[in-house]
Amino acid sequence: MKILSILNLARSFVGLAFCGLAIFVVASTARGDTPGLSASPTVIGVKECAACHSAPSPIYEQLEVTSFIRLTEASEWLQNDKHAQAYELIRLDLTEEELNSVDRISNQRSRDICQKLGWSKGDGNFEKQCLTCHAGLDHRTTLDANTSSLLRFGVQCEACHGPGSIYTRIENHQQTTWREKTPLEKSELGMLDLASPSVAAKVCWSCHLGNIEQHRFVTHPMYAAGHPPLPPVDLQVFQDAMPPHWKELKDKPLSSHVHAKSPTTFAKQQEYYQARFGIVSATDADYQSWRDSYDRTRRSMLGSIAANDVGIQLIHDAAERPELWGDFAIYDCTGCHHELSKSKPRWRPLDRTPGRAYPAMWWSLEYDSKSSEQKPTSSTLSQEVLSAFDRVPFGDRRELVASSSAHADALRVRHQARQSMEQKPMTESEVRDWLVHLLESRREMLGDYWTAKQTAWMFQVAVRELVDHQAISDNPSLNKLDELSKELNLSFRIEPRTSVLVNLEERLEKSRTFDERSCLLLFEELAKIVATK
Amino acid sequence: MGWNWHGIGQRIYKSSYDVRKAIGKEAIIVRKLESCCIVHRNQWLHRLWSVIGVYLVLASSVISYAQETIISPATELNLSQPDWGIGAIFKTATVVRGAASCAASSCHGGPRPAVSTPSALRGSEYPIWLESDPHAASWRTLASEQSQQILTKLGIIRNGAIAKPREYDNCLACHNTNRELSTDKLTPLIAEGVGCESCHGPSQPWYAWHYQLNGSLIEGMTEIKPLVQRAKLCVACHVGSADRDMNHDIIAAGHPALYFDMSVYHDRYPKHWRDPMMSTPDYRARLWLAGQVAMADAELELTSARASKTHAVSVWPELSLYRCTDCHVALNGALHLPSGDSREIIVSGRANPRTWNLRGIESLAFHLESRAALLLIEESKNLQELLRDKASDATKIIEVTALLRQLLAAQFYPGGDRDVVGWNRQKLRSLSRTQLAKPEVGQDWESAAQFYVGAWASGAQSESKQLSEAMHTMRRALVFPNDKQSPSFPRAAKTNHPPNLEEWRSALKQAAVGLLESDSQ
Repeated sequence: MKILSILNLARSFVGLAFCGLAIFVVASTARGDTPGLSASPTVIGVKECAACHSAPSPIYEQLEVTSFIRLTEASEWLQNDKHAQAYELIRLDLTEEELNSVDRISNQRSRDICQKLGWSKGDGNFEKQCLTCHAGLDHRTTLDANTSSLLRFGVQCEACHGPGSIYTRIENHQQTTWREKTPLEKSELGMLDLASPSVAAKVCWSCHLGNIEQHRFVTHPMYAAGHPPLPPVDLQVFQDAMPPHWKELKDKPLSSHVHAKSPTTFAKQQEYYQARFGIVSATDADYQSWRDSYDRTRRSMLGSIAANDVGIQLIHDAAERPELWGDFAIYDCTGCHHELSKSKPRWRPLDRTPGRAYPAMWWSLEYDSKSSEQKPTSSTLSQEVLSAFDRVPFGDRRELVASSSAHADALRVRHQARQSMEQKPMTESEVRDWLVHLLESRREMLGDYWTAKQTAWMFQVAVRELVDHQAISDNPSLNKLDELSKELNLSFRIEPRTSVLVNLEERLEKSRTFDERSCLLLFEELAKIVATK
Repeated sequence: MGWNWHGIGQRIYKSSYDVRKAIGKEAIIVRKLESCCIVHRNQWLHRLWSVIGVYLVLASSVISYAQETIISPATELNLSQPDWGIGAIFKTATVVRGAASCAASSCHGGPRPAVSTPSALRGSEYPIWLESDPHAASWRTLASEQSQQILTKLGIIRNGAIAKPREYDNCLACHNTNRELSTDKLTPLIAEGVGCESCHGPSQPWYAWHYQLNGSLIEGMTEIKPLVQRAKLCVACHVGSADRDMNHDIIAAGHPALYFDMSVYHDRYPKHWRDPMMSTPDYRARLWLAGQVAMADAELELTSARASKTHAVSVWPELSLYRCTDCHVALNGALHLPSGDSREIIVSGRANPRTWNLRGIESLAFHLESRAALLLIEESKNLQELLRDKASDATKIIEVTALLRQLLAAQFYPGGDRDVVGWNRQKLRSLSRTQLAKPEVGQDWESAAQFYVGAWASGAQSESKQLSEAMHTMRRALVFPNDKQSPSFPRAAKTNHPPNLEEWRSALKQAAVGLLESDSQ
């Protein structure tokens, strides 16, 4: 009997201990104390975001939350943003009737592509190779009933903002303390700092340029089977085209925050601006300088530099993988795909070996902040990388692995200084210098349509911002921009729910027929206008 | 090379007569044996077995006899590389004298034939060559502005001096065939293009006494009367050889791509000789065949040299081994479907190997259907597969090209150009007809142009009104547009550059009908 009672006691002790442990574990995970958190953040889907982010509820308007965040993002996005239709435009499971309608030209095309490449339903190719971009799918995700239903909405919130399971359920971003966290802290909790142009650009270019590790890469067989060629990228232009579902800095009130009247929160707001912009004091004048700054041009510039990083990473990742190496998509399309002309010799920088394929050069741009003049340098691929491409047709793979990683490391060091650009506003003289030196460094490359287009977009953003700030007059600069836009076909906006295939031929026609000389003249005239104060 | 069926049949019949006689005799022997010896109870069975045995022995001997003479395994063919008797003038151990040394007015530089030497065939070879022959201009071409730009882009000329002598030699090898700059200490650089000795051979062995021989074969002088020999001389430059590699780097620098055809080039050549065969109606067809043989051999030699990277300018993979238009098509929104099995090509995203120089041999091998010819087709397909595979082993390609050259020689070399003599334009026309049956002909410029040239060499454009109209339409489709070095053919979309793909296809059908009709005449 004694033993029994002791045993009973022991049992109850064990039981209690277990309960305590369980409670502790649950509680700690709920609080988010446990480092590393039990699992990596998972995607929860736009429906949950839309619960709050489709229309602001009166309480938020009362609290002036809508002064810094619209809270209509999900509905705007669903209606206007092309990312919302990215899956819809290529989905395969349409009936024959639906396919025949004119609006479904892109669905027909995606079917053709799958058929030509020999992909069949269920072998995972469509998911791993198409939906990694067109639905923002993580390539490690297994598609089950839950995740398949998420696909309907294309590239959703979390594809860019980061998977939301932590910052919605565990460390909730709705709390007032969220705003006090630094961007880095928010990143660790899953929400990426998209206000930083470099971070945003890396996210955007992972699809719009490519990221081999994330299985986001349009291979040459896919192009050959009918995938439209990817255009060059400019962060500000692309964001304008989305259209933006966020407020720009200049649209946010000066010292907006929740509970504006509280001094404690105001202090924390200061910390926020310090962390974000490096502003030490919290005066309105500082915020004003940010709002008056050339934020759009800064965004365009930083986005282009990020594209350079992404591009060199692509080369490196492709060179590292023997099974992928040799895929022609790494190289400049027009390096091969040009008609042979007798009188108009193929444009090429003089110092490169004829007959060789080189990587696309439109993304090759660097902001060398080591030099005091801080001018961008052209052909930023290092000599080692270029000679690896030179030595044999299509490049020496092993040499490229070494040289591209060395180059990426060097860039990383040089671009650490770019942090300063993240942290300070861009001034008018910097914008003028940027444009002038941009033209000088790229002058020889402007024979390439993709390079010319990207340069023109950068010019467009900067010149328009100069005009808006009334630093230069709108006539003739805007006229010249219009001419340039016509010559290069810079127009971007297409209707929502319309595929890019609809006017692709017109767009590509310019890539074959644009007049390099007149474009160069226009660039030079614009640079002249911009240079004179 | 058709088999003599009648002869074979006769031989079999004759030998079977002996067999039949023997069997008859054998039956008598058996019966005699039966009568005087102890025989098997079942005499009929015994007789049957012995008769079968005799027939088996005879049949196997007939078959082995046929195999020996008619179908021999590959190892028994003469597969050693034949000596065509043509060397590269470029590398010669003798002094090259230059065309001007042949140009005395009483020798080959005269105004008209037989002025001083009644037996001289023409007498005005040199003036004809100098004034009209494009070969005389080839050195001027190399010295022209455009060529200088090409040389500069390739880094061969830097600051007015030759920076890469071996690569410069590569240019000289075709454009000024007299001397290899980096090694030849004997001959000074003669400022003339492709002169007399480039084709007729270095003159030092025979120039002192060749005038005494009155047109008979001169030892040491290259024999260029046989058409295949002649074509081999042309293709050494116009396709390439181990010493002459005009590769994609050079094309990218601005050099035109090489598209040779013996019948066309020969037709347009300002002839400094009198060819008695020229007026025969089958001449062009025979030239076409000679050209195809020589082009294929040269292409294979060049591919092998490129894969071995023995030449100063060789790079591997060599892009000019692939069809130009598979890559060099401007991007357009409409789908550009490559020819052939488009799915396979799309999956690999790769270009087709260029078969301009090999297609004639393939078609011919289909036509001829001998065993060596079948092997030729098989190995040819093998080579194309290897070239298409990016990770292909250069060693394997060298092996396959060597084998192909041997098969080619076995098929066409025995007896010099005997097969060219047996060839005529009717045969070429029926070959063209078999080509038409293939769906891939006409899907890309190369195959379409090959077909056109073959039909032209068979005289199709002057055969009937129908055929000549079809040929005319096809020609218009194939001509490069102004200012372009790439064709606009085929155009799937509607275009106002005439004619488009539909017109081409109807012209092909018309040509097919026309060729059929001409065949039946």
